[in-house]
Amino acid sequence: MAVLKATKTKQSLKKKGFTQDNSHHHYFEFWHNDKVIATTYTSHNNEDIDDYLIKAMSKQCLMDKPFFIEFIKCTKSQDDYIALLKSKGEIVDTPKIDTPVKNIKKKKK
Amino acid sequence: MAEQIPIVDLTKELLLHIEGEKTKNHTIPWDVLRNVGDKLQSLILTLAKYSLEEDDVTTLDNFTLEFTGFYDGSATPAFALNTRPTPTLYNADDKIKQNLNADFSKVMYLVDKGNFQQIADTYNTQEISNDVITKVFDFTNAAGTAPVQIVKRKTKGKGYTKVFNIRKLSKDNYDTLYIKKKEPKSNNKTPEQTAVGKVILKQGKSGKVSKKLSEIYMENDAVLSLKIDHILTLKNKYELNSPIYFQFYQEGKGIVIENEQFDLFAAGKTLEQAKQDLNNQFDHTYQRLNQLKDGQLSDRLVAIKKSYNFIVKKVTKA
Repeated sequence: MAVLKATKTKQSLKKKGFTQDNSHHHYFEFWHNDKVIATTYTSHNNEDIDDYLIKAMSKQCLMDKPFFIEFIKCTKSQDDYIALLKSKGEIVDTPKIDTPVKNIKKKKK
Repeated sequence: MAEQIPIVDLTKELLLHIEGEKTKNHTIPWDVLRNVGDKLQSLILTLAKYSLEEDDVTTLDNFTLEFTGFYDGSATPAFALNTRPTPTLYNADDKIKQNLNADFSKVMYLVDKGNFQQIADTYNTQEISNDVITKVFDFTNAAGTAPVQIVKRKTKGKGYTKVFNIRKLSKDNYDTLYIKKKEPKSNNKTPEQTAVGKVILKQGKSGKVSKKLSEIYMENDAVLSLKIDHILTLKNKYELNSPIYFQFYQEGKGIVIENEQFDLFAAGKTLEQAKQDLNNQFDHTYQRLNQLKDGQLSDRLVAIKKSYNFIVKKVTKA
């Protein structure tokens, strides 16, 4: 049975790109390309995050439990998380369309 | 028309007529009498155990046998059910004894016909069928090779008449009828499954509450759900257009309540705590999603915001 420390969990979330709501300190948002992708809530009283809270938080973050635990323990990175969100279709990168540059050289006569 | 099965009243008298070389002097060797009595009692106790209905309250000691004597001048011992039973609540024993008389008589009728297969088929579980057929095998062979009959006194005059002939169940036939437990194959395990069910709670006259499972659904078909028709927090009260159903389940030492359509995944040590967490999350998520423009939300969160705005009828200060 996994148990995570509340302080460590909050630190990890912030380190991996989650932002903490100023008015609700237990509420975290993950933004990507100026959009909120996922939100999560931590415990109010800094008590250990038990199995059932891990389950709820991992679902809020669109992860499965083992991924969430690794994410908090820092064996999974923010890039891993973004890759996961992309694989789930939560983040859709709009392909950049480069304007073709005409490079026409005048032929010397 | 089906043949009527004569009923042996075990509360009154069960006469066993034992014939053969050993009893020709109208006596019975002690080991034969003891063995027949033991095996008969064992069969009757087994039948009594499986005659019980769910609500029956009794003790099996009330269905032990007593040796009540011999039919005058013959090797015909008489037995009857315990004549000093322990009193039980609701006097259920009379009904149980009636059921037992019927079950015992039916089994003896089938023994008489040699239809042992039907005895085995009467019971719907392998364990019970094996138990009964073993007791039948033991009883029918208890007197060795001596022929045995269940007899009754003639209503008029002296003598007795045959009720059932106790045909012996052969070892080969017994082995065929006894269902051997199948060894679980390591590569053919049934995966653990969960299910949800409906339980009826019934309070008896003594105040004891009994639980009876009335419906059961596999988890693939149904989940436990919680019906929420309003949301209440310290700040706000939400009236809903229709109730929301949340799935809830045990996770470790706590409870998780969830509904993906509303992006709500609440948890708590108890269901009450999880519900409180749910109310707070609902309040915060609703407010936050409506604070942000659709362009600031992922497609999934835009859809969730629509769900909230569709379901919330009215928000008032608590």
